[in-house]
Amino acid sequence: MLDSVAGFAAPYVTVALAGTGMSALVLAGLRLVESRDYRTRTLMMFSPLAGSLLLGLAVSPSCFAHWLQVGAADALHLICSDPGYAYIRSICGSWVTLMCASFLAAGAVVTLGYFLGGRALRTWYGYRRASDDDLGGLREGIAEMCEAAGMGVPVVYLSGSGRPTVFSHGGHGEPGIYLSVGLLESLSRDEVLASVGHELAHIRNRDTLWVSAASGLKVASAFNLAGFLLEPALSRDREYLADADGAKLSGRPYALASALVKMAAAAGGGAGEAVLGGLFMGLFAPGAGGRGLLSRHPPLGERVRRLLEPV
Amino acid sequence: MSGGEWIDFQPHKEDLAKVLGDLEAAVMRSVWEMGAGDVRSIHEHLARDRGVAVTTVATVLDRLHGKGLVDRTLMKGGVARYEYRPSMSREQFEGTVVRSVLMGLFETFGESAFSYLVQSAGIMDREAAEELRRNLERLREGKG
Repeated sequence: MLDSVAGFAAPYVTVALAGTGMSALVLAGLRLVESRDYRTRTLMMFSPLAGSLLLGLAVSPSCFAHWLQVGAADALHLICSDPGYAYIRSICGSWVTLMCASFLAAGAVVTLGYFLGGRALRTWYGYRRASDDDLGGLREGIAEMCEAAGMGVPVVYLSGSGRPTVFSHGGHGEPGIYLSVGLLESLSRDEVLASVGHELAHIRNRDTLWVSAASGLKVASAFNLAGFLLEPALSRDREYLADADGAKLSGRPYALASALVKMAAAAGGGAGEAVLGGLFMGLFAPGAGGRGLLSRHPPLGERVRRLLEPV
Repeated sequence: MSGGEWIDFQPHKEDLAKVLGDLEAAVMRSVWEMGAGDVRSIHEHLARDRGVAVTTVATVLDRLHGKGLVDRTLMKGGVARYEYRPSMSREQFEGTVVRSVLMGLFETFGESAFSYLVQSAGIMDREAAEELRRNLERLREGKG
């Protein structure tokens, strides 16, 4: 009986091990090779996430067909029609449940992160469109950076919070940059522009799409346990990329480093920040989604080092 | 939220830190001394005594605003920024703390707390003891 169960479960176990193995290999490889080609690294990290999902989908049809009792023609599932092996159905049930729950959760993650992210930010945190008075001349600086980057000027939103925060959302709808009064009043003009440059780089690099897609794939192929380390690693790389591109865009690498240090000093890591850090691209959100290998933001010291090292 | 809900009484700490965080207490002292100011001026005032980032001061002020201890108004001209001012004087603040802590003690320890305070009155001068007696009577009558 055990042999039968092992044989029947083998494809699912193999898929889980293959997905996890691929992801772990890529993670280990990228940790060993310290490359700054963040775009290539993104593709390398994305591949095992997408590959895991494809493997999962490949073994699912006959299992779903059997579970839904619409006929399972493959040899593996012939055993299911034998009344003596009825318990086999529970293996299919587990796989079907895992895949359905994963897809529903992944749909929610992508919908909230990519499609509704901007609206969610504005609704939950009370952002409104910033007026020229609010920005006190910053708008010209932002427009200059956008022109240099060859991109449209995103909508700038402002929240009344006294905490210094800055986020961007470049998913569905108009891209937006989200500042707080606390940011404008506690950072210098150069630091604010450098922070906005970082967020503009996120928008230009389509990071909301990359991170939402990676989060969706991670959740959809939940059997790939190493995927839960791969997606935060991909997010960290997109932060490094936004640091590098943003510093070039604003021409203010020192101001960006200074802003990062100041934001780190202010970070409280409350629930709101955890939610924001998970769904949107922010300048600095320690504690958002975990620390170390699970953190979506790189360590402060390393970010500053990379920003300040000679090109 | 200025009825004392924010009070987390820690008797072993010094001064205002008994009821606020260390940084919150330091920022509150600065705000009281200055009367009003924006984040940068409060930070400058605070930075005379201790090294602290301006963003930390902004975060602490936001928290104090959430507790109802400071009011803020959006200022006109330049980038958006707030002017912060205390929502109550230091004396009113102390009154709120004492009332809240004593009510908590009476609710929990009842007669024991009352007896101890009456005994304490014996080692006070006459005027202070009379003041204490009046306050206790007010508290017992629920006039707070």
